[in-house]
Amino acid sequence: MTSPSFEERLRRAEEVLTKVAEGHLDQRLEITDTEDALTGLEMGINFLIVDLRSTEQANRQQKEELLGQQRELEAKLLTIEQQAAAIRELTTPVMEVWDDVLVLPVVGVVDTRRSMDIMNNLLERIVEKQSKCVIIDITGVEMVDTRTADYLLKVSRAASLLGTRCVLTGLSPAVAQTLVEIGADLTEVRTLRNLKAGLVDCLRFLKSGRAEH
Amino acid sequence: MKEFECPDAEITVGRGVVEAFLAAFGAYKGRGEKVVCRHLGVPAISGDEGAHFPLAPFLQAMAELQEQFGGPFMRKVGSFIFDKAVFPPGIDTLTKGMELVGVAYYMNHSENAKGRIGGYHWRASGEHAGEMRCDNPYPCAFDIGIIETIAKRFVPSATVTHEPGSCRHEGGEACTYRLEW
Repeated sequence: MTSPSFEERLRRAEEVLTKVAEGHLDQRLEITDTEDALTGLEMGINFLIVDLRSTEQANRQQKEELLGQQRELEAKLLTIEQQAAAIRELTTPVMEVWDDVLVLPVVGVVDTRRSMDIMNNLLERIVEKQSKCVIIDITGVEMVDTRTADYLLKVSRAASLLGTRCVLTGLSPAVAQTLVEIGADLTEVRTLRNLKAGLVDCLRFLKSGRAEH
Repeated sequence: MKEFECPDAEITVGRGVVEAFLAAFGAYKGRGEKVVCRHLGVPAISGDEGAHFPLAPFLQAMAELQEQFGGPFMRKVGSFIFDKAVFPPGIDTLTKGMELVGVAYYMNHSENAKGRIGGYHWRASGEHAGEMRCDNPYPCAFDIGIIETIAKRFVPSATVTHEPGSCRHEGGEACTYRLEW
């Protein structure tokens, strides 16, 4: 086989460069036995292709790694969201303790997000069960601030709008004192000492209601 | 042994072979070194005379560059071996050169490579002819470069031809070259 002429090699080099510029990195220039003025150019073009291919491969690997990390993070976020939802559900349990009587025990700190969850959850259950009474027991709430007091009133008002009698139980002396000090208006909420008293009150209310009918 | 297939990751190659490989790039030696370093996973080729490098990634670098630069270039790489790699002393004839290529081959690889990386097997067939059978993992064109350079150093008119049949570049396990001078 005869070696390609200088012109042919030059044309081939130009052709390869054009294809490389178009993104075809599978191009190559075979280096001939004879070393001349074109050999350096051919070597340079070959190394340019080798470098571009290597960079492209590294970029692809990096992209795959990043995609993998993104998928991992998304999976973790989903798990966290699912766990958060489960926790929210667990922290706002609404129980039907008697026919037409729901109890919502509130434990721990009540922030804005949690108060919204409690309100939504309770109202959903009231609508679902068509309950006539609801007892919000705050025995497990150590501190009450204006925002919590406001939330308790809002829950009570919302329950009343749905035709449900709302009773607040389990106020500790400290909580009662705080409510007085911050001037929370609890006149529209029936407050009782403990859950037992609340339940007795509700049953009495239900009984009187039935007697009227 | 097939082209570029290393049987054991523990086997290493001496700096002389790597130097010969890089020397073939001439003014682009630095660029060639960059490719070899990428495969070896090192920032630079050690300047230490006795340095050794893992054979498997070095063969992969050779494979990548043979693919890009072609067989004739790999033949050129082979032509640098006699001057850059370690050879036993006393090579003053073509025959001696052929007889000792196999010895030099093991001198340029780690101790644990003996009997595991094939080699160069010379068989004289007359006063001015012989066959060299190569069953090592280096490329066919590279071995032609080595054999041709040594032969022509002592007999400039010597010719090397690939015997028909098995060729490592075609996926075979060995190549046989016929020398006449």
